Amino acid sequence: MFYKFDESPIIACSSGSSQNVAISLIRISGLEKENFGPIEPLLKFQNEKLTLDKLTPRKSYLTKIINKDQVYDEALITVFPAPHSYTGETVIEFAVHGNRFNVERIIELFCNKAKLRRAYGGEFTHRALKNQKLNFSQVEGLDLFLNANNIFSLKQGFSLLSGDIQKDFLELQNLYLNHRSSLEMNIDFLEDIGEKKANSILHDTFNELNTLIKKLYKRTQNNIDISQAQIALFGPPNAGKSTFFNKILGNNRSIVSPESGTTRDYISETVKIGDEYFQLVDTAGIRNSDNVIENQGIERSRSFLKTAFFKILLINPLEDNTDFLKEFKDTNFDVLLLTHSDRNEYPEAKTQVLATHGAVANWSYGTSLIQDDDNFSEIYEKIQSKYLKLLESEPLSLQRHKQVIEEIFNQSQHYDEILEAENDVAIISSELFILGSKIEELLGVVSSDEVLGNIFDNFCIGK
Amino acid sequence: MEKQFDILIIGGGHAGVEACAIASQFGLSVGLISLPDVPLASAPCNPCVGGVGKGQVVRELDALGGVMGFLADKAGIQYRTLNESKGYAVHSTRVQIDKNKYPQVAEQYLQNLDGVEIIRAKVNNINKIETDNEVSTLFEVDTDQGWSYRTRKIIMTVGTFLGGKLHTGSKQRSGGRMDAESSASMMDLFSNIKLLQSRFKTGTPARIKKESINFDVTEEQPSDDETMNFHWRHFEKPRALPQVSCYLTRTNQNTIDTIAANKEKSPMYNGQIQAIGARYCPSIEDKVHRYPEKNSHHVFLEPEGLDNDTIYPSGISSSLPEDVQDEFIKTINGLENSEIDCYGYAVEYDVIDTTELSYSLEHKHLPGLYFAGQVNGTSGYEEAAGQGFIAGVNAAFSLQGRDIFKIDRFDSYIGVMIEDLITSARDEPYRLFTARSENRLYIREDNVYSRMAGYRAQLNLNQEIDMFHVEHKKQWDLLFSFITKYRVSRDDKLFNLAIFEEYKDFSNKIAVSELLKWPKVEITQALAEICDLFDLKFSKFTIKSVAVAIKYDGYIKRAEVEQKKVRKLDNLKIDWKKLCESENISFECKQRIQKIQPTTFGQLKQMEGIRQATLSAVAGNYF
Repeated sequence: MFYKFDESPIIACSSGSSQNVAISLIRISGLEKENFGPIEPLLKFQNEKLTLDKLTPRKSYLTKIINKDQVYDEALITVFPAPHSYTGETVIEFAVHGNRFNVERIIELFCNKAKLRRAYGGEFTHRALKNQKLNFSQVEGLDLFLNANNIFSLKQGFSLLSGDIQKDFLELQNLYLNHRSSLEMNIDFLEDIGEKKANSILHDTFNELNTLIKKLYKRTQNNIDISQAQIALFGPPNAGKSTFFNKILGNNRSIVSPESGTTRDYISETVKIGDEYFQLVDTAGIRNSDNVIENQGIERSRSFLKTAFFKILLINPLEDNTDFLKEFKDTNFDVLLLTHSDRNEYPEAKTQVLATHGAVANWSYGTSLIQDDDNFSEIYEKIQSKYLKLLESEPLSLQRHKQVIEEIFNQSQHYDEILEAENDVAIISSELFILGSKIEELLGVVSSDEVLGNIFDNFCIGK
Repeated sequence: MEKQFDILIIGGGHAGVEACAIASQFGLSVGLISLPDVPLASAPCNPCVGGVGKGQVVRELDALGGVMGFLADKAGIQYRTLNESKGYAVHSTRVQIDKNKYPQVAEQYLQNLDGVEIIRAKVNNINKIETDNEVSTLFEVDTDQGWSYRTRKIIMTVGTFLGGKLHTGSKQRSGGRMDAESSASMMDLFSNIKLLQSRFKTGTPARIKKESINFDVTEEQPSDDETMNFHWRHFEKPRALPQVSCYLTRTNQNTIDTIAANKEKSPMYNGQIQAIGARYCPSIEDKVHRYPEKNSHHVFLEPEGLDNDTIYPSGISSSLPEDVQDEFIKTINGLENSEIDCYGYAVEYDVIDTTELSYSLEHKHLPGLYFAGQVNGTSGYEEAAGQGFIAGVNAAFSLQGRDIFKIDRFDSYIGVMIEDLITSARDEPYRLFTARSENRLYIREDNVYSRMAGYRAQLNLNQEIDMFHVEHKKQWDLLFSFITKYRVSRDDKLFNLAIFEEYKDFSNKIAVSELLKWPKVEITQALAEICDLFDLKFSKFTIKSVAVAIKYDGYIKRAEVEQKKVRKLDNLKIDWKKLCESENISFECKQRIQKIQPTTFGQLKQMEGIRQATLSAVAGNYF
């Protein structure tokens, strides 16, 4: 898309336009004052003395939008002259009636009469980026914010947009700058400060940098897609997963039958627990099967083991689960749910399962799924408290951040080894540059002038 | 009377001498005007040549056919390899010089060159002459000796003499240094040259009489026999002069207290000097007032010559009144009974705005006029010499109708310096640091001939040094191909060498070059022993150069991957006019962009005062 972007004035409807709504916002960007001419005849202000170029900036005026004698609509118009606008260019906004044919007709009119081009997706934001109204992280944040489908994403998007996460990254850059300065000092000013002191500063500054890198890395270390936090149900076929799934959803979406292995692939639904939305996933029962299609479903089930935020293991104690429990001996489930508690044999079977496979999970849960909804509340509480804990660790959810921070972390580990083992500072610094260029990738450029400036400001050196 | 030159150089310091020496090689007539009372290529501050980053420049100059390395060897009285424990890439040579001898050698050298005339005079006036021929400029230079000269090119290497003013305590007078008066203001000579608004300041310490110092309580630093001479003809030769030692002592709390108590007497702190000094070269007053928590500063006692009975105490430059200098110097260990030969002083001077120069160091608005050295806001003899060379070659190239002679910053410290100078206006004196280079692993002293050969060849001079380059390359390639191609197994006699005694991995045949990377051997020594064993006659220099190249090979390749990304971005073409039209770049940024007119992202990045946001936006926008 980027390649299509140019600098001509653009127009688009900036509010949702797929349905008829009360108000729609039409936005024009890049039409500067000296080119207002072609638009003037399309406007008829309530105050007849007014023309577009005479409007007070950022103040709304009532106007008719007209095509020759025909009035299209009545609209509120606001002008944001450059550079004090979202895009940094002059922006004109029309609040018009939100009938989508109306909106279309008005945009068409402006395009034809005023030689405006319809904006491509993201083009307003691209201009904002280009004109330094937003930085790259903020654009990423905006994207997250506008497309958020849970509160967390909304928060993180806004945090990026307002530059909070950028602050953490700037701190990273700062510590890198400090460490690089101390390394340069080891080379260019060794005589001035002495070898011993230079060395201790070198190691101290790296420890600080490395601590922050580790902290950031930890924040990326959840394979969980937090914007799509999944609660996944696992278990052997016929353990009661779909029954449980439907019970939580409060309807009967999955087809439940007594025949083992009914759910051939996963089924997922959005559920609201507390204030948050989660993806509840009913996975295919895991067993040894010869059926190719079933095996594909089973594979997907296994993949959910890696990505799910909350894992619930369902076991029917009345069946023989020996093989299954053996296989997942080391998997860390959040909840073990023993189903079929309404059956007479249940208490005995439960005792047996727990005695035999006590090592599987340190938690047991027996419930009558059919009779009592209240019994879910304990599970809900566990989900909520785990989610809260996850949020407290301030996870970084953007894929780009995750990836670059992971690279930074790996190089920093490698660099740590070199710093310990190598006496040649040029080699050390070459490796540090590689670390630095990855940090730059995350947020910007550190120049050698900044490094030297940092040295001079903090240390007494020179003859 | 009027005489005509092709190139006239004004100023006989390190830049002027280097410019004069190289320019005269092109068969041109070259005049060098120097003040009558100042020796050529003199060392008014530290009596030494080289240093971290600077030693590399001296060797680069030597490999290009410059004179600094030759002169330093002829006058060298103590050699050191700095950063010796820190790895080959940052090894830097520094030589203490006999400060009487050095100018003598320089003067002799220039006088023996064809086409060079040394003129002892002060320049009164410079005029541009209107000629019928619009292509060629002609200048007329009037001197106080009644002579005037016509010249097609002028190289200004006037150092600190432009509007120079000396300070010692409250005493001040005009001059570029002790015992020399200053030149006319630049404004008088060229009304349309833009000076930086702020003046620069540099300083020098008192000189102490040698016999008054108690060296017993100081730490001796003898000359290092292993450090190679600078000049290529001198590699296998002994030192030209007898070698002496330097000595290290330190300031203490008493020193600090004395200086702190006299703060109001310092021209730096009572407002008498407004100019900006280099942060990396602070006066002792600066150190005391800016870092009050630190009381012990190194003081290196450097002999100024063999027959000279003065010591240069490096680290305590000062412009305090004479009685205060006396007092604080006597607090220093070993200097309790010291007698001062000459007091320290600060000098402030005018510098030009180097962003108005091109890569050739020619002024963009005054064709035919070149600037090099301290007048460009740099500090250090080596930086001056490097620029003098570039200006000298380019003045000659221009007369021959050739393109600009430009050395890439990825190949040399000279290249780093020139690009830094012309892309950003200085806010303090500029000194080379290895940190200024993005390619430190590659721009080393040991591979200087490989790095400079191509550039030297561009001069097209076919002199003795060019034969040396050819021979050096031949030898280098020969040794390199031997050790990369010769593969050994466990029965090879090479394993009889004691250094390989512990080597155990004989699973495959291995190339000698790979074997050399074995961490347990010191690579240069190992290669020397292998050469001995196989009776291969290579110079020490070649052996070291090949060994270090092998050592860094992997690291350089690894760094290149990242550098490529950076360079790709750096080479990105940008349209500065478009940036200047943008309403969203700050006025200040735009002014700078307008002036420098960067054509690539790399140049934009190098520029001073360009905001992070501007860079991100430009990078993002053009990706």
